[in-house]
Amino acid sequence: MSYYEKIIQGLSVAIIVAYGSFVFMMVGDDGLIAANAGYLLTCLVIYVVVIIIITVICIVYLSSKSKQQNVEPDEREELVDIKSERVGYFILEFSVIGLVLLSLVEAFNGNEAFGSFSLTSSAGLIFALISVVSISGFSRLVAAIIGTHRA
Amino acid sequence: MRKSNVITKVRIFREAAPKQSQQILADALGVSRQTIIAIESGRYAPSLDLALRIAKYFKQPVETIFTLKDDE
Repeated sequence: MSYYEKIIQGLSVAIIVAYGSFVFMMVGDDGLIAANAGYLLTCLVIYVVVIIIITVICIVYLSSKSKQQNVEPDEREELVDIKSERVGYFILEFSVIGLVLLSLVEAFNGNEAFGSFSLTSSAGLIFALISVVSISGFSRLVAAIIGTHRA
Repeated sequence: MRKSNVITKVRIFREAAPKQSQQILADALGVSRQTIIAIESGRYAPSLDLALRIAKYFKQPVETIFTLKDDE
């Protein structure tokens, strides 16, 4: 497995752990926690910090263990990266369109349509946006993992 | 990813050289071993730059190592 593939797998783990932590902090037994601004900010900071910490650990660990002389992605890996980035972009685009449609559903059916996950609340909106970013980012990495095995 | 339209003889030339592993070739060319595997199996057609570097490495004309399927 090349350095690029290992980094991609490490980043996938980072997103899963960060998003898992975020969901754990935001969602209670009855849906989204009624959080104040400070709590929302804390959740966002933890999400970002978890991604950064796991990414740095991965890079340091893999760089020390890697036997590969050149850790930069080569031309095939760059090609895979471009294609996977396109996959991530399309998923982000469709997810945003999905959010727009959900907003319309909520606009037609009132604020109670999605309960605590209402997009009119700041907690609901942040949860939806972080979900979209995480899903598209993870999809991009999965596409890269598949691409490196197929190309 | 679709199969490349290029026929490669990289494996033949590599195996003809003594003690020439995929890793040694990859290090010499500055690519990953997975890229050499992909080129040898015909799943990936290298760029002109890499194809020329491979040809230079084996001291062969590039068309000896890489040919189009239609030319066979």
